[in-house]
Amino acid sequence: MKTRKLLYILPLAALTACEPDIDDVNFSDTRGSADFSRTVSVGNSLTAGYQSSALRRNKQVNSFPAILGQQFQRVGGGEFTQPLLAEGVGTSVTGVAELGLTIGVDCQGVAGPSPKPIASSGQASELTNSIGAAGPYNNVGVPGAKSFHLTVAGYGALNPYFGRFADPANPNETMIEHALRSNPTFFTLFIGNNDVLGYATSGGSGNPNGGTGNFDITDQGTFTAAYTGMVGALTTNGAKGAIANIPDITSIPFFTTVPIGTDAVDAASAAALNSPQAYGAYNAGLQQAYAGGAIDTMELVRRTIRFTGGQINTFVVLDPSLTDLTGINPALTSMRQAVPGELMTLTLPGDSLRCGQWGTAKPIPPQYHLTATEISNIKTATDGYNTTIKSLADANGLAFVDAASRLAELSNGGINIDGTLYTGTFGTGGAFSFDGVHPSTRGYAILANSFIDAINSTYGATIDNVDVNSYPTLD
Amino acid sequence: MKKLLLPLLGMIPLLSFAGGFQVNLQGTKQTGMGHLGSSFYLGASSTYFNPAMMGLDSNKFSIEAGVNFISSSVEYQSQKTGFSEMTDNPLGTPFYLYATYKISDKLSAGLGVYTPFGSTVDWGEDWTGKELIQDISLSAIFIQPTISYKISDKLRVGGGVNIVSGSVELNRNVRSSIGNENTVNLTGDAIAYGFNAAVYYEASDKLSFGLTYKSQVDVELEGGKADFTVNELGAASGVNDTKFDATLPLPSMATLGIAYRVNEKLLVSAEGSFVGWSAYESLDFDFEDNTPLVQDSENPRNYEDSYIFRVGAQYSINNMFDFRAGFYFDQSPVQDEFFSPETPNSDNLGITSGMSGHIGENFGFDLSILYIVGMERESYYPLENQQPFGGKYASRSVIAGVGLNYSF
Repeated sequence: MKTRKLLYILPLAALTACEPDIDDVNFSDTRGSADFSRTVSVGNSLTAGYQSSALRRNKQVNSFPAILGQQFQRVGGGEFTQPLLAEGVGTSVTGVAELGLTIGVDCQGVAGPSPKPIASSGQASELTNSIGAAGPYNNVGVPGAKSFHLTVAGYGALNPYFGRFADPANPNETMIEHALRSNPTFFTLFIGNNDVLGYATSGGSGNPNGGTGNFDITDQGTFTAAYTGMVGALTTNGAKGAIANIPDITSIPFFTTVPIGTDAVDAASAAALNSPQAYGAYNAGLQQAYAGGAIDTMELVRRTIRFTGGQINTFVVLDPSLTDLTGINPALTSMRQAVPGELMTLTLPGDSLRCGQWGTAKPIPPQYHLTATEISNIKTATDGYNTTIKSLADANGLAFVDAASRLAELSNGGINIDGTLYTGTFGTGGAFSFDGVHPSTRGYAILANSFIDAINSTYGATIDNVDVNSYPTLD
Repeated sequence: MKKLLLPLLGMIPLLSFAGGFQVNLQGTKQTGMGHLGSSFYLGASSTYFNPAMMGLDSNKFSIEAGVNFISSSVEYQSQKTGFSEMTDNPLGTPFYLYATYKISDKLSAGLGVYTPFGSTVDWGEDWTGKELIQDISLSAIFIQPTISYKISDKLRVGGGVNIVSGSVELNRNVRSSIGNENTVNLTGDAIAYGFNAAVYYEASDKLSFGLTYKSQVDVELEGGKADFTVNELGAASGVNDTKFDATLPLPSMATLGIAYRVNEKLLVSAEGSFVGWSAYESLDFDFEDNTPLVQDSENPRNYEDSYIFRVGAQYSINNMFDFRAGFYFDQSPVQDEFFSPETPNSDNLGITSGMSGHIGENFGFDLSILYIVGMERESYYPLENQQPFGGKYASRSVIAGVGLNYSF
């Protein structure tokens, strides 16, 4: 009898057999005390979804605010609109196309991956093609924007990335005003990176002590006033929000890819570089300048150039902050060898290093090099901004996203997600796009999860992270 | 016959539906009653279940062969993102083949070819854990020449050699952060050896006992092939096709069974097995050339010894038909902290049923069906200095078996 009963049951079992059902999982996301019905995201290129030196539609659709917008829709979030470009190659503000991967051959005939613009030119016309009438947009991310730009009246006329989607009926619209037109219940604000980045990527060419130019470092007072004003404006109607701090520049491949020294130099080459026909003459001239009191001992030591055979030697760089000795002797240009801790930019031409004797017989121009002082200027400014951001988050009960720590993890062992490792290594690390500054799509997804984690913890929400490994890889 | 069968068996995809990557489907009759059969004779398949019983057949020659059809899937669900994935495992069809010959009243010889270990799991190319595993197919074919000896009417012993042909093929992503197309294909095979020993004791007409032991076999893959497919960025990371060594231990198993003939028609039996899975501590890959994409790796498994408990019954309606049913509980050797999606194994409940038909004096056929519930578990696999990979897993399998036997 027992057997018969089982025989009747078994065909039923077979029907349901191959559908294991994980039934006690409860993925009911909740919004906690936040209201995502009208969300705006305000910021710079990172908010816009900029990658590989360009804005492009297929990257915009996976901007971190767009990813957040999708997750928010599970908990009552409304539609999240973005000022998308037309399909195409994308463009930088100067009309250069997006970088893509190519295999190039260097001056020594060695083939290797090198990012190059994927088209002869970008679609600069897209930037003058206004889509503002369809606004306001929920993503108010404008590449190039610094903190104080967000409240500049008529900023659209100054920055075409904003001009293309700003209100055509109001030529004075500011970025914050554009955001407020959506009457937001929730906002993200991620701004301040460009307040130091232009200075850093230009090799410290701007004013480190304040100024509003592209290459200047915004002074703390200006930054704090601008940021406080923006948070005040965005929270006027009781909106809640998440604000993120500024990553350290040593977290991004733009500054960590090119080494500050040569491969090992052989003894003959070192002897030639040290000879009286080369740096020997310079060193002798320095001794004379020192004897004449033009430079002190410390500068004499810093500037004396010496190559040692059989080992790595740091590059010779031009450093305009050194005492100008060309009045004494035109051959005494302001050069020295780089010191550990200093950084070279990704833009330093590799062929000039390999075949043009840059860094050895010829000093590297200063726009490719960050001195210890310049790095210190950047760090001081970044730390100051981050103190302001953190205290404003605390004071206003906003979710604080420690983007700086998260990005630092990438260059410090990497972030492993379900077995896939993401690092800050240029190109092959997977987390950064080909400009070495902006994240890749998966990098942005990692950032979006940091926002979700901070929002969940601040507002008691239970919004799922996104599956980073499902997003597109670099192309 | 061996030569013909081996290439065939080598291609059989099997599925992990017993503890670890054990495959307990060595006889259709036994499968029908909870896969037990160490303490009572059911034909030539006793070569596997308890070789001490080989001389119990009334005929001189006995041959038994069969095949199983496995349909199975495992579901995974991340508890962090809600991402879920179901394996797309191919239909598995493991075979078995046994032949026994009674040399004399006391001495018998037998040969078995069967697949007690194997696994085929296919998570697909693009699931989130693709750098851990995309798909894996491993199998171990045992060839077992065995003899048995009747010490007395009550006591019999048996034993022999296990010649094991093990093979593995797996695909996984490498550096998928820069392209889902970056993959490595690892293949290898090896021959290894072990032994088996068994005792059968017939206490009375009604009561009998069986005790069997199968030794651990370490399948040492040497010079396996690691072939890479990478995109330009992957190539820039440095990659060369290379070779690898790895060792896969197949655990020992000890089984104690008891059978009781309630009357001429009804037989009941129970069995317990101890499986020495703690031998599987880690799966280490030693590559010939190490490059940034190909690093020697030690992957902890830390399996624990496990137990299997089985009960089953056989009811003979007449000389024509036998019906069977059974149930077993098969404990997973995998710990929650070391649960790799390559062997997504949980505690299994097996419900079985089967029948045999006898046609004439010499010929018979067997049918079985087995339904396995892989109980839901939440488990994780450690990633160095990072949040572990895992979530909830559950599985279901249906296995239909067909067997034929002939004795003369």
